[in-house]
Amino acid sequence: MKTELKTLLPQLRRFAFSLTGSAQDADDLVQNTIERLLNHPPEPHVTLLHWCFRVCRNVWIDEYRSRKVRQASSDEPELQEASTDGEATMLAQIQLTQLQKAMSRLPDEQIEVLSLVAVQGCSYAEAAQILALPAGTIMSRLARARNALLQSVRLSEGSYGV
Amino acid sequence: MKITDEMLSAFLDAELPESQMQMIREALHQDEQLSGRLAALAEMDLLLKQHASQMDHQVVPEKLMALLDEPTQDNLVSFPLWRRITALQPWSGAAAACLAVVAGYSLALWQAEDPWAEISLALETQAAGVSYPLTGASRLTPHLTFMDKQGRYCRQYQVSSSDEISQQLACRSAQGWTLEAMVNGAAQDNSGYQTATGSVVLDPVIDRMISGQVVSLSAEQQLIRQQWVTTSDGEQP
Repeated sequence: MKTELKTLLPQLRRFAFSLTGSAQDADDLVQNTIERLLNHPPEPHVTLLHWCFRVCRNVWIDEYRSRKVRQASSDEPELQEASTDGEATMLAQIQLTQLQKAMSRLPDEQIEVLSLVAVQGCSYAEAAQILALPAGTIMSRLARARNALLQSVRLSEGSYGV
Repeated sequence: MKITDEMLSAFLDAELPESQMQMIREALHQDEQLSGRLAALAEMDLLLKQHASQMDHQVVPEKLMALLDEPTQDNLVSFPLWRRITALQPWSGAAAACLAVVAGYSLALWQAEDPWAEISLALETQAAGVSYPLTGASRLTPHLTFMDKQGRYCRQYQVSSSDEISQQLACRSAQGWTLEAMVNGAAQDNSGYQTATGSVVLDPVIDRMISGQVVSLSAEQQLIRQQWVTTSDGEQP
Protein backbone atom coordinates (compact mmCIF):
# COMPACT_ATOMS: atom_id res chain seq x y z
CA MET A 1 0.00 0.00 0.00
CA LYS A 2 2.95 2.33 0.58
CA THR A 3 3.73 2.37 -3.13
CA GLU A 4 0.13 3.25 -3.97
CA LEU A 5 0.09 5.94 -1.32
CA LYS A 6 3.24 7.43 -2.80
CA THR A 7 1.54 7.80 -6.17
CA LEU A 8 -1.47 9.43 -4.50
CA LEU A 9 0.65 11.74 -2.38
CA PRO A 10 0.39 14.82 -4.67
CA GLN A 11 -3.42 14.62 -4.73
CA LEU A 12 -3.58 14.02 -1.01
CA ARG A 13 -1.29 16.98 -0.31
CA ARG A 14 -3.39 19.24 -2.57
CA PHE A 15 -6.52 18.09 -0.79
CA ALA A 16 -4.98 18.71 2.61
CA PHE A 17 -3.78 22.12 1.48
CA SER A 18 -7.27 23.01 0.27
CA LEU A 19 -8.62 22.09 3.68
CA THR A 20 -6.01 23.80 5.82
CA GLY A 21 -4.78 26.61 3.57
CA SER A 22 -1.31 26.13 4.98
CA ALA A 23 1.53 24.10 3.48
CA GLN A 24 2.94 23.17 6.86
CA ASP A 25 -0.41 22.20 8.31
CA ALA A 26 -1.22 20.32 5.10
CA ASP A 27 1.89 18.17 5.41
CA ASP A 28 1.21 17.57 9.10
CA LEU A 29 -2.30 16.55 8.18
CA VAL A 30 -1.05 14.24 5.43
CA GLN A 31 1.47 12.71 7.82
CA ASN A 32 -1.24 11.94 10.38
CA THR A 33 -3.53 10.70 7.63
CA ILE A 34 -0.92 8.28 6.31
CA GLU A 35 -0.13 7.03 9.79
CA ARG A 36 -3.80 6.34 10.33
CA LEU A 37 -4.11 4.69 6.91
CA LEU A 38 -1.15 2.42 7.54
CA ASN A 39 -2.56 1.40 10.91
CA HIS A 40 -6.06 0.87 9.54
CA PRO A 41 -5.87 -0.10 5.86
CA PRO A 42 -9.09 0.03 3.85
CA GLU A 43 -11.00 -3.04 2.74
CA PRO A 44 -9.80 -4.36 -0.63
CA HIS A 45 -12.91 -3.20 -2.52
CA VAL A 46 -12.57 0.43 -1.39
CA THR A 47 -11.06 2.98 -3.76
CA LEU A 48 -7.87 3.98 -2.00
CA LEU A 49 -7.92 7.63 -3.07
CA HIS A 50 -11.46 8.12 -1.81
CA TRP A 51 -10.54 6.36 1.41
CA CYS A 52 -7.54 8.68 1.74
CA PHE A 53 -9.80 11.72 1.31
CA ARG A 54 -12.22 10.40 3.89
CA VAL A 55 -9.50 9.68 6.45
CA CYS A 56 -7.80 13.00 5.73
CA ARG A 57 -11.06 14.89 6.19
CA ASN A 58 -11.75 13.02 9.44
CA VAL A 59 -8.29 13.77 10.78
CA TRP A 60 -8.76 17.39 9.81
CA ILE A 61 -12.03 17.58 11.70
CA ASP A 62 -10.69 15.69 14.71
CA GLU A 63 -7.32 17.34 15.10
CA TYR A 64 -6.97 20.46 13.01
CA ARG A 65 -10.18 22.30 12.51
CA SER A 66 -10.48 23.27 16.14
CA ARG A 67 -7.07 24.89 16.00
CA LYS A 68 -8.25 27.32 13.33
CA VAL A 69 -5.05 26.67 11.50
CA ARG A 70 -6.34 28.14 8.29
CA GLN A 71 -6.35 31.60 9.74
CA ALA A 72 -2.58 31.52 9.97
CA SER A 73 -2.14 30.71 6.31
CA SER A 74 -2.15 34.29 5.09
CA ASP A 75 1.10 34.75 6.98
CA GLU A 76 2.75 31.85 5.25
CA PRO A 77 5.80 33.25 3.48
CA GLU A 78 6.50 30.41 1.10
CA LEU A 79 3.14 30.79 -0.56
CA GLN A 80 3.21 34.55 -0.57
CA GLU A 81 6.25 35.15 -2.71
CA ALA A 82 5.31 37.86 -5.17
CA SER A 83 6.33 36.99 -8.67
CA THR A 84 8.04 39.54 -10.86
CA ASP A 85 7.23 37.76 -14.12
CA GLY A 86 4.89 40.43 -15.28
CA GLU A 87 1.48 41.87 -14.70
CA ALA A 88 -0.46 38.69 -15.49
CA THR A 89 1.49 36.67 -12.97
CA MET A 90 1.08 39.41 -10.39
CA LEU A 91 -2.66 39.40 -10.98
CA ALA A 92 -2.76 35.63 -10.63
CA GLN A 93 -0.85 35.89 -7.37
CA ILE A 94 -3.25 38.53 -6.08
CA GLN A 95 -6.19 36.33 -7.04
CA LEU A 96 -4.70 33.37 -5.22
CA THR A 97 -4.16 35.48 -2.11
CA GLN A 98 -7.75 36.76 -2.32
CA LEU A 99 -8.97 33.21 -2.80
CA GLN A 100 -7.01 32.01 0.19
CA LYS A 101 -8.57 34.68 2.37
CA ALA A 102 -12.03 33.99 0.99
CA MET A 103 -11.64 30.27 1.64
CA SER A 104 -10.55 30.91 5.20
CA ARG A 105 -13.90 32.61 5.79
CA LEU A 106 -15.97 29.75 4.37
CA PRO A 107 -17.66 27.29 6.69
CA ASP A 108 -15.69 24.06 6.97
CA GLU A 109 -18.46 21.98 5.44
CA GLN A 110 -18.30 24.10 2.29
CA ILE A 111 -14.52 23.89 2.08
CA GLU A 112 -14.50 20.11 2.14
CA VAL A 113 -17.10 19.91 -0.63
CA LEU A 114 -15.19 22.44 -2.75
CA SER A 115 -11.95 20.54 -2.20
CA LEU A 116 -13.45 17.25 -3.29
CA VAL A 117 -15.51 18.39 -6.28
CA ALA A 118 -13.92 21.55 -7.69
CA VAL A 119 -10.29 20.67 -6.90
CA GLN A 120 -10.17 16.89 -6.95
CA GLY A 121 -12.86 16.36 -9.58
CA CYS A 122 -14.97 13.97 -7.53
CA SER A 123 -18.53 13.42 -8.69
CA TYR A 124 -21.34 14.44 -6.35
CA ALA A 125 -21.99 10.78 -5.65
CA GLU A 126 -18.33 10.19 -4.75
CA ALA A 127 -18.21 13.28 -2.54
CA ALA A 128 -21.47 12.21 -0.89
CA GLN A 129 -19.99 8.80 -0.17
CA ILE A 130 -16.75 10.24 1.24
CA LEU A 131 -18.53 12.78 3.42
CA ALA A 132 -21.49 10.53 4.26
CA LEU A 133 -23.97 13.15 3.05
CA PRO A 134 -26.89 13.14 0.59
CA ALA A 135 -25.92 14.22 -2.95
CA GLY A 136 -28.41 17.09 -2.69
CA THR A 137 -26.48 18.53 0.24
CA ILE A 138 -23.27 18.36 -1.77
CA MET A 139 -24.96 20.29 -4.58
CA SER A 140 -26.31 23.06 -2.36
CA ARG A 141 -23.14 23.48 -0.30
CA LEU A 142 -21.07 23.63 -3.43
CA ALA A 143 -23.24 26.32 -4.98
CA ARG A 144 -23.13 28.41 -1.81
CA ALA A 145 -19.35 28.05 -1.58
CA ARG A 146 -18.82 29.06 -5.21
CA ASN A 147 -21.09 32.06 -4.85
CA ALA A 148 -19.30 33.20 -1.71
CA LEU A 149 -15.95 32.97 -3.46
CA LEU A 150 -17.25 34.91 -6.46
CA GLN A 151 -18.22 37.72 -4.10
CA SER A 152 -14.71 37.93 -2.67
CA VAL A 153 -12.28 37.29 -5.50
CA ARG A 154 -11.71 39.72 -8.33
CA LEU A 155 -11.59 37.66 -11.49
CA SER A 156 -10.31 38.66 -14.94
CA GLU A 157 -11.05 42.05 -16.49
CA GLY A 158 -14.80 42.45 -16.91
CA SER A 159 -15.53 39.88 -14.23
CA TYR A 160 -18.42 38.46 -16.25
CA GLY A 161 -20.84 40.93 -14.68
CA VAL A 162 -20.99 38.98 -11.44
CA MET B 1 -37.97 27.46 -15.34
CA LYS B 2 -35.74 29.83 -13.43
CA ILE B 3 -32.10 28.82 -13.50
CA THR B 4 -30.76 29.06 -9.97
CA ASP B 5 -27.14 29.41 -8.88
CA GLU B 6 -27.35 25.87 -7.58
CA MET B 7 -28.42 24.56 -10.98
CA LEU B 8 -25.69 26.52 -12.76
CA SER B 9 -23.09 25.17 -10.35
CA ALA B 10 -24.33 21.63 -10.94
CA PHE B 11 -24.39 22.29 -14.70
CA LEU B 12 -20.70 23.14 -14.52
CA ASP B 13 -20.10 19.75 -12.91
CA ALA B 14 -22.38 17.95 -15.42
CA GLU B 15 -24.43 16.70 -12.51
CA LEU B 16 -27.92 17.66 -13.66
CA PRO B 17 -30.39 15.37 -15.40
CA GLU B 18 -29.96 15.56 -19.17
CA SER B 19 -33.23 17.45 -19.65
CA GLN B 20 -32.03 20.25 -17.36
CA MET B 21 -28.55 20.20 -18.90
CA GLN B 22 -30.15 20.77 -22.32
CA MET B 23 -32.43 23.52 -21.03
CA ILE B 24 -29.46 25.41 -19.59
CA ARG B 25 -27.43 24.95 -22.78
CA GLU B 26 -30.20 26.60 -24.72
CA ALA B 27 -30.54 29.40 -22.18
CA LEU B 28 -26.82 30.07 -22.38
CA HIS B 29 -27.17 30.83 -26.10
CA GLN B 30 -29.61 33.62 -25.39
CA ASP B 31 -28.62 34.97 -21.99
CA GLU B 32 -25.28 36.77 -21.87
CA GLN B 33 -25.49 37.38 -18.17
CA LEU B 34 -26.04 33.68 -17.53
CA SER B 35 -23.11 32.69 -19.75
CA GLY B 36 -20.96 35.31 -18.00
CA ARG B 37 -21.90 33.84 -14.64
CA LEU B 38 -21.05 30.33 -15.83
CA ALA B 39 -17.68 31.56 -17.14
CA ALA B 40 -16.98 33.15 -13.76
CA LEU B 41 -17.79 29.87 -12.00
CA ALA B 42 -15.49 28.00 -14.36
CA GLU B 43 -12.70 30.50 -13.79
CA MET B 44 -13.16 30.17 -10.04
CA ASP B 45 -12.75 26.40 -10.33
CA LEU B 46 -9.57 26.91 -12.31
CA LEU B 47 -8.32 29.27 -9.63
CA LEU B 48 -9.15 26.72 -6.95
CA LYS B 49 -7.08 24.11 -8.78
CA GLN B 50 -4.18 26.56 -9.14
CA HIS B 51 -4.45 27.36 -5.47
CA ALA B 52 -4.24 23.71 -4.49
CA SER B 53 -1.41 23.03 -6.94
CA GLN B 54 0.82 25.44 -5.00
CA MET B 55 1.34 22.49 -2.74
CA ASP B 56 3.12 20.67 -5.58
CA HIS B 57 5.98 23.16 -5.34
CA GLN B 58 6.53 22.51 -1.67
CA VAL B 59 9.23 19.97 -0.85
CA VAL B 60 7.75 16.86 0.73
CA PRO B 61 9.07 16.71 4.31
CA GLU B 62 11.56 13.93 4.99
CA LYS B 63 9.52 12.57 7.87
CA LEU B 64 6.57 12.18 5.52
CA MET B 65 8.59 10.38 2.86
CA ALA B 66 10.14 8.19 5.54
CA LEU B 67 6.66 6.88 6.35
CA LEU B 68 6.26 5.65 2.80
CA ASP B 69 9.81 4.58 2.08
CA GLU B 70 10.92 0.98 1.87
CA PRO B 71 12.53 -0.60 3.76
CA THR B 72 10.70 0.34 6.88
CA GLN B 73 12.58 1.27 10.00
CA ASP B 74 11.74 -2.20 11.32
CA ASN B 75 14.33 -3.97 9.23
CA LEU B 76 16.92 -1.22 8.99
CA VAL B 77 19.26 -1.77 11.90
CA SER B 78 19.81 1.34 13.94
CA PHE B 79 23.47 1.92 14.47
CA PRO B 80 23.52 3.55 17.80
CA LEU B 81 21.84 0.30 18.86
CA TRP B 82 24.41 -1.72 16.99
CA ARG B 83 27.23 0.18 18.61
CA ARG B 84 25.72 -0.30 22.04
CA ILE B 85 25.50 -4.01 21.47
CA THR B 86 28.97 -4.42 20.05
CA ALA B 87 30.46 -2.22 22.72
CA LEU B 88 29.05 -4.47 25.41
CA GLN B 89 29.77 -7.88 23.99
CA PRO B 90 31.11 -7.98 20.45
CA TRP B 91 29.60 -10.75 18.37
CA SER B 92 28.40 -12.73 21.34
CA GLY B 93 25.47 -15.06 21.01
CA ALA B 94 23.34 -12.66 23.02
CA ALA B 95 24.17 -9.76 20.76
CA ALA B 96 23.46 -11.88 17.73
CA ALA B 97 20.10 -12.88 19.17
CA CYS B 98 19.19 -9.23 19.78
CA LEU B 99 20.09 -8.30 16.25
CA ALA B 100 18.15 -11.19 14.83
CA VAL B 101 15.08 -9.93 16.64
CA VAL B 102 15.65 -6.37 15.51
CA ALA B 103 16.31 -7.20 11.92
CA GLY B 104 13.91 -10.08 11.63
CA TYR B 105 16.14 -12.58 9.93
CA SER B 106 18.41 -15.47 10.79
CA LEU B 107 22.13 -15.16 11.25
CA ALA B 108 23.20 -17.94 8.98
CA LEU B 109 25.48 -15.50 7.20
CA TRP B 110 27.57 -15.22 10.31
CA GLN B 111 29.04 -18.67 10.70
CA ALA B 112 32.58 -17.63 11.45
CA GLU B 113 33.54 -17.18 15.08
CA ASP B 114 34.64 -13.62 14.43
CA PRO B 115 33.04 -12.60 11.16
CA TRP B 116 34.01 -8.98 11.61
CA ALA B 117 37.73 -9.80 11.37
CA GLU B 118 37.09 -11.40 7.99
CA ILE B 119 34.92 -8.53 6.85
CA SER B 120 37.43 -5.94 8.02
CA LEU B 121 40.16 -7.69 6.08
CA ALA B 122 38.04 -7.77 2.96
CA LEU B 123 37.14 -4.10 3.30
CA GLU B 124 40.78 -3.25 3.82
CA THR B 125 42.03 -5.10 0.76
CA GLN B 126 39.30 -5.68 -1.83
CA ALA B 127 38.45 -3.30 -4.66
CA ALA B 128 34.85 -2.53 -5.57
CA GLY B 129 33.21 -5.22 -7.63
CA VAL B 130 35.63 -7.95 -6.53
CA SER B 131 33.96 -10.80 -4.66
CA TYR B 132 35.78 -12.05 -1.58
CA PRO B 133 35.06 -15.48 -0.01
CA LEU B 134 34.05 -15.59 3.66
CA THR B 135 33.71 -18.57 5.97
CA GLY B 136 30.58 -20.65 5.47
CA ALA B 137 30.16 -20.18 1.71
CA SER B 138 29.32 -16.51 2.09
CA ARG B 139 30.87 -13.84 -0.08
CA LEU B 140 31.58 -10.16 0.40
CA THR B 141 31.51 -7.75 -2.53
CA PRO B 142 32.39 -4.07 -1.99
CA HIS B 143 30.20 -1.70 -4.03
CA LEU B 144 31.36 1.82 -3.39
CA THR B 145 33.55 3.98 -1.20
CA PHE B 146 32.97 7.52 0.04
CA MET B 147 34.14 9.90 2.72
CA ASP B 148 31.66 10.79 5.43
CA LYS B 149 31.18 14.13 7.15
CA GLN B 150 33.53 13.08 9.95
CA GLY B 151 36.31 12.55 7.43
CA ARG B 152 36.21 8.75 7.62
CA TYR B 153 36.32 6.50 4.59
CA CYS B 154 33.19 4.37 4.39
CA ARG B 155 32.39 1.41 2.17
CA GLN B 156 29.05 0.03 1.15
CA TYR B 157 29.21 -3.69 0.42
CA GLN B 158 27.16 -6.85 0.13
CA VAL B 159 27.49 -10.07 2.07
CA SER B 160 25.62 -12.92 0.46
CA SER B 161 25.01 -16.62 0.85
CA SER B 162 22.75 -18.93 -1.11
CA ASP B 163 19.67 -17.88 0.83
CA GLU B 164 20.47 -14.50 2.39
CA ILE B 165 21.74 -11.14 1.25
CA SER B 166 22.92 -8.39 3.53
CA GLN B 167 23.66 -4.85 2.36
CA GLN B 168 26.04 -3.21 4.78
CA LEU B 169 27.95 -0.01 5.34
CA ALA B 170 31.12 0.29 7.40
CA CYS B 171 33.47 3.18 8.12
CA ARG B 172 37.14 3.21 8.95
CA SER B 173 38.58 5.02 11.95
CA ALA B 174 41.80 4.67 13.91
CA GLN B 175 40.23 1.67 15.65
CA GLY B 176 39.51 -0.10 12.37
CA TRP B 177 36.31 -0.75 10.44
CA THR B 178 33.01 -0.24 12.24
CA LEU B 179 29.61 -1.33 10.96
CA GLU B 180 27.34 1.68 10.42
CA ALA B 181 24.25 0.31 8.71
CA MET B 182 22.87 -3.01 7.56
CA VAL B 183 19.74 -4.21 5.77
CA ASN B 184 19.11 -7.91 5.42
CA GLY B 185 16.74 -10.04 3.49
CA ALA B 186 16.22 -13.36 1.83
CA ALA B 187 18.06 -13.94 -1.41
CA GLN B 188 14.69 -14.78 -2.91
CA ASP B 189 11.64 -12.71 -2.15
CA ASN B 190 9.63 -15.31 -0.27
CA SER B 191 10.44 -14.33 3.28
CA GLY B 192 7.94 -11.62 3.91
CA TYR B 193 10.81 -9.23 4.61
CA GLN B 194 12.26 -6.57 2.41
CA THR B 195 14.66 -8.26 0.02
CA ALA B 196 17.96 -6.49 0.33
CA THR B 197 19.17 -7.40 -3.11
CA GLY B 198 20.15 -3.95 -4.27
CA SER B 199 22.66 -1.52 -2.85
CA VAL B 200 20.07 1.25 -3.20
CA VAL B 201 18.41 0.20 0.05
CA LEU B 202 21.20 1.98 1.91
CA ASP B 203 21.08 5.10 -0.26
CA PRO B 204 19.16 7.15 2.34
CA VAL B 205 21.86 6.34 4.90
CA ILE B 206 24.64 7.18 2.46
CA ASP B 207 22.91 10.44 1.51
CA ARG B 208 22.90 11.48 5.14
CA MET B 209 26.54 10.56 5.71
CA ILE B 210 28.40 11.40 2.53
CA SER B 211 30.63 14.40 2.17
CA GLY B 212 31.37 15.20 -1.47
CA GLN B 213 31.37 12.53 -4.13
CA VAL B 214 31.79 8.78 -4.22
CA VAL B 215 35.47 7.83 -4.48
CA SER B 216 36.47 6.79 -8.01
CA LEU B 217 37.68 3.25 -8.67
CA SER B 218 41.22 4.42 -9.34
CA ALA B 219 41.28 6.51 -6.16
CA GLU B 220 39.87 3.57 -4.24
CA GLN B 221 42.64 1.28 -5.51
CA GLN B 222 45.16 3.90 -4.48
CA LEU B 223 43.65 4.01 -0.99
CA ILE B 224 43.87 0.22 -0.70
CA ARG B 225 47.52 0.30 -1.77
CA GLN B 226 48.22 2.98 0.83
CA GLN B 227 46.26 1.02 3.48
CA TRP B 228 43.68 3.81 3.64
CA VAL B 229 46.14 6.38 4.93
CA THR B 230 46.25 9.47 2.75
CA THR B 231 48.35 11.77 4.88
CA SER B 232 51.66 11.23 6.55
CA ASP B 233 50.43 11.95 10.04
CA GLY B 234 47.28 10.00 10.57
CA GLU B 235 44.13 8.39 9.31
CA GLN B 236 42.37 11.38 7.90
CA PRO B 237 43.34 13.06 4.66
